[in-house]
Formats: sequence, C-alpha cells, structure tokens
Amino acid sequence: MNREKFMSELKTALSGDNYKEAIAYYDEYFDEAGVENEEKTIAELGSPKNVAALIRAQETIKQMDGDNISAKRGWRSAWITVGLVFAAPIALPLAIAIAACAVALIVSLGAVVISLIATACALAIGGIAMCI
Amino acid sequence: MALQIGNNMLDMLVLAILRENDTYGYVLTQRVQSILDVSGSALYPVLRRLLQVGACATYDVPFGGRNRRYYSITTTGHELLRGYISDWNDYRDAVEQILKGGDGN
Repeated sequence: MNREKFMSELKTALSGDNYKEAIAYYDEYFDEAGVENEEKTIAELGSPKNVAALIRAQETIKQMDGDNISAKRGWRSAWITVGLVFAAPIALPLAIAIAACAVALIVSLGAVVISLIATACALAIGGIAMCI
Repeated sequence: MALQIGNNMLDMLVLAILRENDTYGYVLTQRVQSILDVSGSALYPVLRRLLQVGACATYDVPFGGRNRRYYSITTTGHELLRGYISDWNDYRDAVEQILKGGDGN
C-alpha cells in the first residue's frame, strides 16, 4: 500500500462532510512525515479501515453519552408522571375537601354577618317600639 | 510503557503538551509516542473529541505551499486539564501506596 491508496481507502471509509477534517488531518500527517517515511507511516497508522473505525468509535461513544443524558431526563419525567398518577386518589379528594371547607367557611361567615344585621335591625325596631 | 492507556490519559497528555505550546498533529503524535506505546492513529480521535468539547481550538499556518493545522488549548481545556491532573495525582498516590507494600502503615 502507498499513501495514495491509503488516503483513497480512508475517504471511502469516512465519506461525508463530517469527516472532511479527518481526511485533511491524515493528508497533513503524511506531508509532515515526509515521502521517505511513507511506508513506515502507513505501517504505523494501521489499515485505513482501522483508522476510520477509531474515529467512528469516538463518535459512537459521544452519541452514547448523549443518549445517557436524555435517558436520565426521560426517567425523571417518567417518575414525575408515576408520582402524579399515584398521588391522584389522595390529592383529588383532598382538593374537594379543601374546596368544601372553603365554601362552608364563606357560607357560615355570611350567616354570621346576616344574623348580626338581623340583630341590629331587631334592636333598632325594638328601640323605636319602646319610644312609642 | 506497557500499561494500558485510557482515553482520559491521552486527553490529559495532549492538553498538557498544548499547555506548553501550540503544535500540529504530527509533532503531537511524536511527542506522545516518545513516552507511550500508542498507534499514530490514536491521537486524531483524541484531538477531535477535545475540539468537540471546546477544550482546544485550531488555526492554520501556511507552510511550504500547504497549511499546517495548529492546535491550541482553550480556557475550557485548562479547566479540564486541572481536573485531570488532580485525578492523576490521587491515582498516582493510591498506586504508590500499594506498590510500597504497606510501608505507609
């Protein structure tokens, strides 16, 4: 294998815009190593398929990291949903009871106010009657 | 060195080399290979990862009718390296403790 064959196989293994920089990197690498070290460099880099696999493996690890994060988030929201479902039988009657208490309180307060007015009226009428 | 080298170790070494001065892929590879038995193809994935997390940046310098792509360490890279060095120190101390064979007790 020579440099030309190595690079063409690498390009085949790493097609797409995502890997343009990888191709450029190895082109530069050969330039730096020099023509006299071409064979040695190829032997040392390994097969183009291997070189490509190393880069792809890196991408996969990165993707897996991303998946893990979203999986954790997914579990969190799942637990919130589960919690709400289990809380509903308790929370719903509780909410109804609180609402009923509030209504009862307002009604009783209203009754007290009305009775106070009624008492005031009664006293006033009683007072007028006494004067007459 | 016959010890297995993990990704973090390579990340740490590359960042430490870049902390000294900016350099390009080939020289970086030679430098790491002078102390570790790693393939020449092991360094590009490391650089790619470091670029993706913003730990290093690149710029091109014209050289002999082509470009040399230099890598430099970023602020994020410095932070990452500090963490790695701290982990490394802990790890090294723990290993030495075992290698000493109970001298520390």
